[in-house]
Amino acid sequence: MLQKHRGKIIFLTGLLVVLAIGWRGFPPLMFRSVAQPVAFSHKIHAGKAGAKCDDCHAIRDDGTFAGVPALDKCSGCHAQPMGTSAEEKRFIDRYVTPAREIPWQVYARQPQNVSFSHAAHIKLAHLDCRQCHGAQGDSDTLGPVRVERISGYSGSRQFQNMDACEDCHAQRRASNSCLTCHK
Amino acid sequence: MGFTRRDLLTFTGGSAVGLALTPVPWKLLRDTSLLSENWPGVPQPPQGEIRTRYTTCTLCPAGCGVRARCVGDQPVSLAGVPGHPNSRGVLCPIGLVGHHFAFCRDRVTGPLACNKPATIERALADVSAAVAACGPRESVAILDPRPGRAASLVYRRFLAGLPNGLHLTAPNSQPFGSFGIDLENTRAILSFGAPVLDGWLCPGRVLAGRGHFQLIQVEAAYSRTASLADLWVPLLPGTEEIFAAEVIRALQGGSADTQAAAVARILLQNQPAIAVGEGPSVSRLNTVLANAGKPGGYLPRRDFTPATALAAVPDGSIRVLLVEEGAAAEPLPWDLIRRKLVPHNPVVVALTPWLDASARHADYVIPAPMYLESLDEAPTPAGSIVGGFSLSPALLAAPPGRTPPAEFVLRLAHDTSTYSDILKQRIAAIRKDGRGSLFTYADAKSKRVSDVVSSDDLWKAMLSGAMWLDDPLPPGKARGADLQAGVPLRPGRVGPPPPSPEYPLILVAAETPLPHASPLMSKLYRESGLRRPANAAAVHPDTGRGHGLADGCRAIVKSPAAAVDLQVIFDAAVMPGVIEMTRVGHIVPPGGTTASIRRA
Repeated sequence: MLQKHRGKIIFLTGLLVVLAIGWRGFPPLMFRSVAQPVAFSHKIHAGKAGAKCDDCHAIRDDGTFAGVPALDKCSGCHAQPMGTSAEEKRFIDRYVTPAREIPWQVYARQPQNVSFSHAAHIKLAHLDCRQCHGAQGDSDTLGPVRVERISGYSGSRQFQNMDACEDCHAQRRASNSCLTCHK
Repeated sequence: MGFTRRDLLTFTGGSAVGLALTPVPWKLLRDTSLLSENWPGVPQPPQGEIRTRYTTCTLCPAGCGVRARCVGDQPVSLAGVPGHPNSRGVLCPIGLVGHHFAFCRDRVTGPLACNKPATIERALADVSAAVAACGPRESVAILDPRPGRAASLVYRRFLAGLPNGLHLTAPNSQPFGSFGIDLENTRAILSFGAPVLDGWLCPGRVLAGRGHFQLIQVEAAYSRTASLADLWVPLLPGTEEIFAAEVIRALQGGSADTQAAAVARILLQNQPAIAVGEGPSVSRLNTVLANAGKPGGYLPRRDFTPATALAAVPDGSIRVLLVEEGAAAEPLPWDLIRRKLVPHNPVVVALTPWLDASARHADYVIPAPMYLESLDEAPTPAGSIVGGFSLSPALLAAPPGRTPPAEFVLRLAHDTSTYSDILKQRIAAIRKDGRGSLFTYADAKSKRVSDVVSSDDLWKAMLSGAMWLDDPLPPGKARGADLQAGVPLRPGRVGPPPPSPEYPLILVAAETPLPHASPLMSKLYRESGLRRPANAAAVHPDTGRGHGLADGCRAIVKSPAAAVDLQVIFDAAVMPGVIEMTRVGHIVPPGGTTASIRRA
């Protein structure tokens, strides 16, 4: 019996081995983890400090999105240590005192041909931040950023991918034309 | 039984099929295709807070409002300012990519003296000595590409202190004199070769008014403007003068020319109408149309400061010449400048961001900041019916060693003021006069200048992005002599003179060049024009071969105004006996001119 189906078994073995490697073993090899330069806690800032999302990530009156805040936003409160943690002291010594911008790693760094407007999605489509960013605003730590080893772009699972964009556009009857997002 | 060769091949076959069913090949294909976007050396926008900053475009006389999206301190995209009284939220293709100019590899990196690195102190000392050594019949001149600025005032003050100082400007830099065009109320435009829909005046203003006026384009070439006009009147090069005279006769009811009669009918049915172009025929047409000083026509404004046209300067009379070149201004042909210099040991100083044009011939090259690298100004926009003024704050940090042209002249004049001081004085004068209104870019609102508390507040508002607009002259305040004389257009011919043995060919402007933008940014182009370099002349192959030329060779095109050295392209779409030049510069009037061509 085995002898009779030997060829098929070997073929299927090769197929299954490569499928297992390709689906389970290969993907993690394509990414490297990069830690954020500062241990920032959304939870502490939203809880103890009473900050709201748009205190730092604001959409201004003219419709532009502030994105990741610059150092001067942090320096407003952290010119001197507000607590006793070593991490805060390191942050002040390394960035605030020498007025050096924080080289934040971007979770959703996309190729330049992808155009995304926060203002259009929040002001016009009335999406909640959590819909794409999940519970990031409640997190106590910033997780590492998954960076694709070859392309250098972000591949974080925490954020939307193109399939999710397309699904949402389809549900809301927004255009799914290539040129809607790819300029 | 062992693992045979057949088993290995079978296993490999299964693996190959399995591989195609995994993300491995597709992921590798995708990632390697994106790899080139992140190679070292590919500029990446910096990270940082996204801010909107405002400035004013100074690349051409239109003075459009600019809204810049900046990441950190780096502008990453430019757009128009909605509601801007002049540009109406529009930027031209060059203006949209203005923040890329700073990365051009042809920039001057440091002061040069006779093509060798020098210090600015040495250049100042040498130029001062040359100015002091000027003879009684020799002059010191500054060629100003944009008269009417505060920088122009610096030049005039410096030159006024010299026995023979001349404030010069390039041909066509002040085409309408003290008049503007009331485009918003015009109902018909008869254009003799003016690129009305292709960068003329302020593109946003023309675009906003396009639905309200009939456009008749009289032009030998089927240009982009001609293709978009309501009526294109194709003429043989050189017959524009005759046609303009026929239109005048038709307007007065006496022409038998059916085409001229049709044009006259459109002009009469769509009043007020204006004629645009150069030459006495255009002036006469405007006189017949009686449009000077009336709504929808040419309206006078207050702030005109005339400069001397380069052509009016006697040949061989300039000892020291300072040439200011803008970032995108089309440079004057060197031949046009050279003939005005004294024959022996003239001193030419190029104040320029580019190692190009006059910088190639200058004795001293002073590197100027590029567009958006230093505080600049935009005077009254081209064709505006009221005076205007805007500041153009820097969005980029200038590399060290860049000197704004006005700063260089201030140092030459031993004046301790800075260019910024001069701009502040200009703004203080506006506040003191109290006339006009201030349009702020951020909120698109206007308020009276008299409502601004102090000149400091006005300065801060203009640094944040604002435009001052003067009040229009009250009706009847225009000088009677101006209105009777018509619009003071530059004298000259509408069409070229007949070919002569010395100049056997007709030289016409091809489509209006977009020197720093891809032709693909416009969907209207001639296929054969796509392979034409920016600085080239196109001739019909028969014409080229008849003059001993070959496709792609270098040639000298000479017109009565100047000669230029450029590449020749054979193009069967060009009319025989005609030379088409894309970078026409200042040697081809809209109607064309006569020229000769020979192999360089």
